[in-house]
Formats: sequence, structure tokens, C-alpha cells
Amino acid sequence: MEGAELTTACGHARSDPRAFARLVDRFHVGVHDYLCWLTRDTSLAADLTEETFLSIWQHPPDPRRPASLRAWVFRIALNAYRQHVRRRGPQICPLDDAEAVPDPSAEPLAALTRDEMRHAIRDAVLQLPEPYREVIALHNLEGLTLREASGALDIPIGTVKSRLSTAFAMLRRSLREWKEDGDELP
Amino acid sequence: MNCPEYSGGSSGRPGLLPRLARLVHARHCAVCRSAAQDMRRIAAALADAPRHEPPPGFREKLLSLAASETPAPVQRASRIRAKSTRWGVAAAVALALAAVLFATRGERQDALAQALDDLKNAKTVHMVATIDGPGDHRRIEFWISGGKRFRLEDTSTDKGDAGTSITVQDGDTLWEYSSRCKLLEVTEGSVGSPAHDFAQLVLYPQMIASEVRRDATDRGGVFREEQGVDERGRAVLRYVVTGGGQHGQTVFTLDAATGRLIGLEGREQRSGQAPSVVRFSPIEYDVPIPDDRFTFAPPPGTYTVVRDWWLHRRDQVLGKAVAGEWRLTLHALDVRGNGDVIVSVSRQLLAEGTLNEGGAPRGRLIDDEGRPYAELPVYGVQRGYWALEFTPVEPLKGHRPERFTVELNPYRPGSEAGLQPRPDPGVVAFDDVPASYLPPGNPFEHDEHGKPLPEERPNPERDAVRLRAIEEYHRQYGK
Repeated sequence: MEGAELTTACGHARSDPRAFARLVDRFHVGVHDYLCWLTRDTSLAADLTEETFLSIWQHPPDPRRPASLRAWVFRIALNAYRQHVRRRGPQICPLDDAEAVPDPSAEPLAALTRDEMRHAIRDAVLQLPEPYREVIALHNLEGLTLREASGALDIPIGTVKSRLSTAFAMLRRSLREWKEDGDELP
Repeated sequence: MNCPEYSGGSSGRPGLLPRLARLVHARHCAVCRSAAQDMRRIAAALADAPRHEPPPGFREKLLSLAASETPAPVQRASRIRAKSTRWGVAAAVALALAAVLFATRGERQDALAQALDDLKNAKTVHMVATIDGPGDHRRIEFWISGGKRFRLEDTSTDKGDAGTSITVQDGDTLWEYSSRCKLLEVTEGSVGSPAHDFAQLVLYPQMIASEVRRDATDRGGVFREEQGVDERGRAVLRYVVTGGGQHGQTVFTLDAATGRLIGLEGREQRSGQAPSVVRFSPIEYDVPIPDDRFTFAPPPGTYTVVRDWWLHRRDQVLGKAVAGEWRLTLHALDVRGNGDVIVSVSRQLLAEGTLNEGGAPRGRLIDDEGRPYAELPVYGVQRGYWALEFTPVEPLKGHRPERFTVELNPYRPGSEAGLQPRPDPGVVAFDDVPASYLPPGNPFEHDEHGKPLPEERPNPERDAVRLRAIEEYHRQYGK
């Protein structure tokens, strides 16, 4: 299904502006949102979204590797972001330090109101190390399935799951600290 | 799992074999339940997170950019086609091989799938699982009758009776007993089928089969069929799956005569650890199970907590609102001694396979003197059923409201975790809803003699929650 959809939607996009317009309609809000989560900069996210769709217009997908259309589009967006990071220079990514986040407390987060939770979760996600922000943004914020996220990130599905698990533990710890401090995230 | 009460399978990635033990443990552990509750709240908050909207005119800008760009050079397309021709021959050979392999595997999997369907659909099933892994030795016995009655006894063989937890459901009442805590929790008038919570346990062999099949097909594992004789002299078929994933080896044993699954053994070993082994044996079908297996009498000295909130509310209907995609039912409106109000509602999302998934309805109350009530956070959530709590925004000054207007959003618009985006359902208003007043004490729980458990002690944190709810109300509706 996805393979056929991919070929139809994108393969024709190069010769059929209406097909490209359908792609833009379907994905531009999600791609822009995803890049906002990655870059933490709405202006930069808009620029990278433009690069993403320009790339889609210029380079149709490889028909030998049928994959989810959504995964493919988000992968192009991720590549645009990574190219930007490479141009910008190296960045510290504390992946190893982030693996262990024990939090054995039995006290739930229930005391946070919905509004507080929305505010806190946004800050907490933006502070996640990049590999975890990538999976949370794809799966929980943009709604890609685990398999699609795996395809978009080009990592095994098990790695997606373990990063999600670690990301949730980190979010929980951040939210608990937020709740205890009653202030901004540390 | 970072639970101090539980050591089994705590290192490394979650493995297949310790998962059953973890599921059982999590049912009885406050730390794990709290963690699971937090994870659900975080997932809901992520689904609720506001989107970064693109700037105005962004779509048109994208379309105009593409229109002004020349499509990719023809040379690139030609190169891909040339490559495709070479790859095409190899792909055709691979496809032919795959077709043969899948045809063979398909037959085997059909046999397994049929066996697992038989297990799911049997009138009664009795089975015993043993788990032996690093730091975790337990025996779990299941009795299952139809879709609604079951009993599960989980005993840590290291701790004997001190480590036993028993869960029994008769279709209407759920008993959860912990010998270690000498605590029995009884939920009467269950709604939303508690069996659903245990589906993962009851269908655990199916979970294993599903994962193992994926190993065998997607990850290059080896799937082998053997004919043999079991220890009772029965002719059996064994399906042995090795490698390809995180699972060392799994063996399904089917009765050759009936095709039924009669045994399952999984074995895995992580580096530096002793092997973990889980065995389901025996697995017996359509055996007579006495009715007293599906009820529970606690031993002397057990502290009992009874919850029967929904027993007295689920069949009462004060109002109903129906649209093409959802149905919202207002069951009761109860006022507590402190003036807070509990609204009991249930919701069905008719248009989705995921019936009743998603967050609780949200809303507010207005009493018969026009005083608004703000919504408190939802704590206990049962599938599709909610006891929503509200607190007065202004002091009641001795007023005892008799009737309320209840305004509810049947669900949040947009998408929630795992669900399709949904349109805004708008607000549903139930007018003139009569209030009933609760006696003092904890309204949700009482002891086995019907005596209410003590009311919550004065709780500064709970008071702070009320204040925050009122502040949020003002932000949403204005002062």
C-alpha cells in the first residue's frame, strides 16, 4: 500500500504539480512542527521545511525501496536538519549520560493541572538530548508508527523503542523536578 | 523497570521471558502502577501538546518555490533505471526464493495460528507457567472460563506463600489479593471489563507466538518443524524457532492429533547471566473447573477494601447525548461533604475500533444559583468510564445546590496517542441534573462490612490542586 502510494504520490509529483500540492497539504504542517521541535527555532524550521519540500520536488523516491510515505517525507526533513547541523558545526550530544535515569518514586504526577502539564511537557521535550527528541517528536507528537519512525530515522525498531522508553523516563524525571520546584525546568 | 520491589529482568532491554513476571508484578505494585500512570499522563500530554503552526502563506510559498524550480536532470533518472535493470534480475531470484520460503512458513504458521485460536476460544483452559531466571523464580497458574471468568495465582517460589498474589474475576467482581501485604481489594460492579487488563496475561502464549513469528520472518531466524513423542507418549509436532532476534529459542508443542497447543518453552540468555526459561505446561482444554475457583474468600487477618462505586451507578442514566461518532451517558451526580461534586459519565467512541480509548471528557458545572465549578484532575480511569470531580470556584456560603448544568466535551479534538485525528465535537450540556448528597467519609471505598473508610485527612497538596484548578478555570472561562 505504502509503496504504491509512495510511487504514485511522489513519482508523479515531478510532472504533476497537483500531486505535489497534495503532498504539501498533507505534510507541511507536520514537517514544520517536527522541525520546530528539533531546531527549537521556528524561523529555521520554516527554512528547513522549504528545503525538505524542494528536495521532494526535485528527487522522487527510490522505487526499489518502498517504504511508508510518511516515514520517507520525515526522513527527508531529518536529513535537511542534519545537513544544517553539519554546516553549523559539531554539537555535544550527551547520549551515553542519558541512558540511566532511575526514578523509583511512587508519587504520581497527578497533581499537575492540564495547563501546567502542557507547559511543562513542552519545556521538557525541548530539553531532551537530540536522539530522544527525534523519536518523541516523530512518534508521540507527529503520530508516526514505531515502524515508520524506524524507517524515518533509519534505525532498528528496537532502538526506537528503547529510546522512547529512555525519553519517557527522562520526561518523567523532568516533570517531577518541575513539580517539586514549582518553577522552570532545571 | 526501576522498582525496588522487583529485581527480575531489571537489567538490559526488556526481554520476552521476564515480561509475564513483570506484568503480574505491576498489577500489585504501587511504584509500578504509579509509574504506569505517569507514563499515560505524559503520553496524553504529548498528544495534547500545541502544534507549531507555520507562518501565514507558508503553503503557497512552498508551492511557488517548487513551481519555479526545474525538475531533476534526466541523467539521474536514467542512471537509476540502468541500475534497476541489473538489480531487477537479482530481485526476481530473491523474490522467487522468498515465495518458496513463505509458502512453507505460511503452512506452519497456519497450524500455529489455528492452535492459538483454539486456545483463545476454548470453553475452559487450565495452564501452568513456570519462570526461572536470574533472581526470579515463580509459578503462575491460570484457570480461564469463557471471556469473563478467570483466576490467576502467582507464587514466587523463592518466598513461598509470602510471595503469592491471587487475582480472581467472576465477570462482575474482581478480587486482588496480596499475601505479602495481607490486603484484598474488591471491585464490585466492574465496568469496562477488567478482563481487558489481564488480556495480556491470558493471551501470553499468543504474544510470544507473535514475537517469535516476527523473528522467524523478519529477522532471519530459523523456523524448524519436528515430529516426535512427548513424555506422555502422545504424538506431537514441535515448532522450533531459533535466533534472528533477542529470543534464544522457543519451542511450541502441538498435539499431532488435535492440533492444539499443549506446551510452550522459551529460553534466552543475556551475556554474563544465567539463562531465563519460561514454560507453559500443561495447557489443558475444556476441563471442568469448579465454580469456587472463580470466587475468593480471604484468609483471616486480611485487610479488605471494597470499591462499589460503579455497581450503584452504571445502570442509572440521568442523561444521554448521541452523535454519529460517539455516545455520552451521564450516570450520576454526587455532592461530597466538602462541596466537591463527582460526575459519573461513560463514553463510547462509535466510529473507531479503539472503543473508549483516549482521554476523559472535560468540562465544567454550573449550579442552580449560577455558581461555576472547576474540574479537578482525573485520577482513576477505567476504560470508557470516569468519575469526574469538580470543585466550586466560589465559596458556597452555606448554599446546598439541588440541580446542576453539566457541560462536557465528549473528547478532545485532534489526535491522541495512537488514534486518528477527530473533529471537535463541541460542548454537550445536560440541564437540570438532580444532585444526590453523599454521606461523610470516603465515597469510593469501604470495608467488607460496608463501613466507609476514613475521609481523606486534610491534605495541603490536594488543596493546592483545587486552587490550581480554579486558576485554570479563570484562564479558560475568565473571571
